[in-house]
Amino acid sequence: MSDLAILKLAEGLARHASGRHTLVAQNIANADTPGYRARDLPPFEAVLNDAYAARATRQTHFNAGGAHAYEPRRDTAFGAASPNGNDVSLPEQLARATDAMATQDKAMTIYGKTLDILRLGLGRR
Amino acid sequence: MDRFSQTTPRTMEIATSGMEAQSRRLRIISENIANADTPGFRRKMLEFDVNAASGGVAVGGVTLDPADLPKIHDPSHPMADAEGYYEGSSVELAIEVADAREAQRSYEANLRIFDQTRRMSSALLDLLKR
Repeated sequence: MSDLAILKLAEGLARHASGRHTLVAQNIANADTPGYRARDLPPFEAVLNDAYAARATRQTHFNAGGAHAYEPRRDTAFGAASPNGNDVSLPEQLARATDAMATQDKAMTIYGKTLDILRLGLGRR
Repeated sequence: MDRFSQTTPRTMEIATSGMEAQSRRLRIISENIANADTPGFRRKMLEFDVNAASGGVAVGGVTLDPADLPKIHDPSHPMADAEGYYEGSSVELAIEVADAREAQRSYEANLRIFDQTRRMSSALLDLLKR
């Protein structure tokens, strides 16, 4: 089933979104931890190219290592740190979380609709 | 498929650690406010640190504010010394109230993440219901 490129793509997008959501959760949980620096994943487009380039040669690349196959990184665009060295901004993190959730929803819809099409092709429905 | 949901319990655990930490912080704040007029009371503070295992927040011990207690002049006070001063409480209401607001805001943000995670995993389960 996962030989279909679109399913693979949707799976990758959903995994990226939920990994990103976990990172945002960590940022928000540590919103008041002194010295904590917010982290985020690189955008999906960036890892997608790598994954697709590697897909032909190395089948496991895309699936390797769970959600954190994408390396979290410090983002410099987080704005000024507060006096205790923490640079988590709650509104910004909540916007990122909502974005991740919408992306995951999108991926799930694509996955589901593709399954519907397959089912239709099999004549069940 | 389990690869999608692997992170779901972890995210909920992280959000829960945040809510727990903030509610303990609120408790400490209310203890401080309750003792805003207790002579000799030092303001309590809670230590937050990153939980290395889950990435959530770990609550450390309660520490007391090392700052000097304010000297209040009131010769009629039972605890007043020879010069008529006694040591008051180092709690400042404005700081505590601001701290409480911050704790409440962070608590709500964690709660929102928890709810979002729940909705994300139910979106995943909806795939199985088709």
